Amino acid sequence: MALSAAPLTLFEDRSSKSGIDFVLHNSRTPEKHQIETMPGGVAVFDYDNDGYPDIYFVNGATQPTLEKSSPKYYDRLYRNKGNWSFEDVTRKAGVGGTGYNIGVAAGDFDNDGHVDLFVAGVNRNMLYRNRGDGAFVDVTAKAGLASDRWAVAAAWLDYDNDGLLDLFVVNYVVWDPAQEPFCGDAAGKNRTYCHPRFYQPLPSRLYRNNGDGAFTDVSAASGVAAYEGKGMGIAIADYDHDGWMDVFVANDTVPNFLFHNERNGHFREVAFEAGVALKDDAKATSSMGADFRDLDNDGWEDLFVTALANETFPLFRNLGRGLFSDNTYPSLTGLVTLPLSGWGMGIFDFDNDGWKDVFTANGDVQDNTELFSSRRSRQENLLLLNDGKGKFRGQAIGTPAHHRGAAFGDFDRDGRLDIVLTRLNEPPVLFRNTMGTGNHWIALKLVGNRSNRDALGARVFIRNGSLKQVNHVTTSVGYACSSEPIVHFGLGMSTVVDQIEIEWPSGLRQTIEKVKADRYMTVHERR
Amino acid sequence: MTGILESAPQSSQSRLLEEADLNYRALRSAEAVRLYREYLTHYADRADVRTYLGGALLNMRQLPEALVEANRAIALDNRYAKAYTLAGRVYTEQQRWDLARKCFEQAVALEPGERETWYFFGRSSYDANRFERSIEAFLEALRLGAGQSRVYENLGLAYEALSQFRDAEKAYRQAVELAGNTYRPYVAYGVFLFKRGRMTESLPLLERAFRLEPNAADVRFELARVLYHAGKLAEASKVLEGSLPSNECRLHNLLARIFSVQGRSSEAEREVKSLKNCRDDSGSWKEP
Repeated sequence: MALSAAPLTLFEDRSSKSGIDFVLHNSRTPEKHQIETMPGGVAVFDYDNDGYPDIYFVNGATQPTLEKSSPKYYDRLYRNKGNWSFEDVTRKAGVGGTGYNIGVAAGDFDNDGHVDLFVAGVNRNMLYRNRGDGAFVDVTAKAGLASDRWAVAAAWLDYDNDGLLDLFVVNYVVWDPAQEPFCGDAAGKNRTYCHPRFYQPLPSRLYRNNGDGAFTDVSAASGVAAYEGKGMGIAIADYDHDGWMDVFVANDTVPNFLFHNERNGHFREVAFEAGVALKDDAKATSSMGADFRDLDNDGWEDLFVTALANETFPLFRNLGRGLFSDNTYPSLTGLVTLPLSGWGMGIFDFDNDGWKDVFTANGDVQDNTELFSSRRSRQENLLLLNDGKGKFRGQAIGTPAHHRGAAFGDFDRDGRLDIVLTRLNEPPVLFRNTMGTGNHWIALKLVGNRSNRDALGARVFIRNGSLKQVNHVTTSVGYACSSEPIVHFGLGMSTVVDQIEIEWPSGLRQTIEKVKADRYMTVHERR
Repeated sequence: MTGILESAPQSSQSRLLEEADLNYRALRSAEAVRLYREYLTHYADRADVRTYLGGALLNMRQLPEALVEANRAIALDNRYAKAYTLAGRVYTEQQRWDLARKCFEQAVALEPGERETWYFFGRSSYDANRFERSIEAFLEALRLGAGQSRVYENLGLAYEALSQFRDAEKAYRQAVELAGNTYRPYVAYGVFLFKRGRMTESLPLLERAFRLEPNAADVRFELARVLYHAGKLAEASKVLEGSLPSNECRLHNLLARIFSVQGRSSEAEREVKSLKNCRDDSGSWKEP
């Protein structure tokens, strides 16, 4: 194994005493239905506006009914009480859910200051409006977001810059439990989950927010519906800096999509032209999770994608001009990810040194991998530490499991980003970041006025000394998950940020000079 | 009289068989198949000839036909190890790993000193993602004196798959030392060094491979990829340009990237178009 053993000082497992008693049930069957491999998303968001991020887990359901026939299948909301203690508020909040759910996206779609939730599921989606009194209400039908497709993930974004959050839903494949093919050994003794080629692809869907609580399906009008894929992860960024949000969809075993926003309500699919459809060797990967952030501090958002074992996790470096270069091997992330199957992931500066790192949640798609391969079914997670010179060093994190979702936030508000991970048929893992680097940091919460209230899509530039960094506001991170929309920067040894510049989705620019480090700062968009 | 009459056709059949073998070894598989089949019209019960016929068919990717010959050979002589090896190779191509393994195990049980069988057993195990078993088989092939470069090369790949990079590099280095004028070991070692971030060391190996086999798609791709990442775009495009095989998607993909960075938009568009239409069983955007 090329990974270094992780010193205990990197992350501390706070799961057991956290009060979180959730277990992710995929309801596995001898038939090995495809849906069993895919849960479960997790969202880190502040539902009660107390300044501390809470956690929402989605869950499976009974098969074949796909109903939550018992409380063990409920989706769960845990309120952060502080001091690494959480309480289950699912019942009070009314978010136990229905159906077999996979992914979740948090965003304030009605700009009322209370973050809402969209849940992506198997042949059924759901939108919860946060009433602001600790409870949510199911507004799926009213919003026009009901669907009979299998959705894996979703992202909130303001694609038309009208100040309202729109919704991009990533669909996977056509799945019928009665038609599940047999996959496994020739003797028919050992069954495996089937390759995605056995299922028909689906297009994603884009819903425009009308501003009255309802959405209009603009999938066809926007051009998105014309592209059938096997979508898994979604990452949002204005990768060419034209002021309009673009969308990357990670596709499972078929070329990825990069939807370029044409600024007129239409998207153009440019993944081949941009160089992110395939790896250098023209092979499509089993792309799972994705995040879109600047890894080399050159001002351009790069893409990192998780995939299955023997494929490597691609790192596409944004060269500007709408072009990307497959830097998987030159960055040394290729060989270290070769034995791993990655799902959730995120690009954040975990050690606050001013260079963003990568975390991946790992576990094979098969639960009986060892019967067929030298690879491992249960896997450790991976932290790729950025050396600031274009290379990464791999560090194994945690104990082997069938990890799936990963969401990121600062649960104790100490400026070090923490992680919550889901694991199939096990409780989640809550990792407290304990890296004692002595590095400094700053974190911003942006509140839009003309822009959407969550400020999703805002870009933040900071300068301290010779180091310049950029990050942006998004909740769509990794695989089927939603992370805190805080914009966080590591500052290394700097105790002051010379300049912070915010570019709001409305086009407004705001500058703040000489800001002390090691603090959370809320910035409202100038009216 | 009778003896002469009998020996005349025998001698011509021997020549036929020799010619078939020559064609087989020279990888002129279609001609080898024709000649073996002609020979078998006279001597249908030769397990060894049926096995070689199956080998030629395998070289032509006619897998079901190759398997038929392997099974006929086994039916004729169930202690003929090479027939099991052939069947194992066919099953490997068909990704029927369990059957392949059983055939190879039978083959090495019948003829444990047959290094060729151990080599193919190693290859099959590697393709089946059974890397430890693959290493054992390659080491056995080497122990039996198969000091060929290709065994070391494949041993390197297996160590690499298990992240045993020191052992992998040692094997690749051995492969290069024994390579002579064979280009593949230079490619394997060069690619390994590239993956390890050692581009400067990788480049001379890939250039050597390119001098040995300038037309091979894998050499052109790997050399151009390293040149591209080293910022030598003009050199990289020179390696790739010329008549590209339409089914070599990776060449179109890389060339599209290089042209795009060079600002040669129309040429980049042409390569993207080729890439989108590309179909290739060994490295395309088709579902893996």
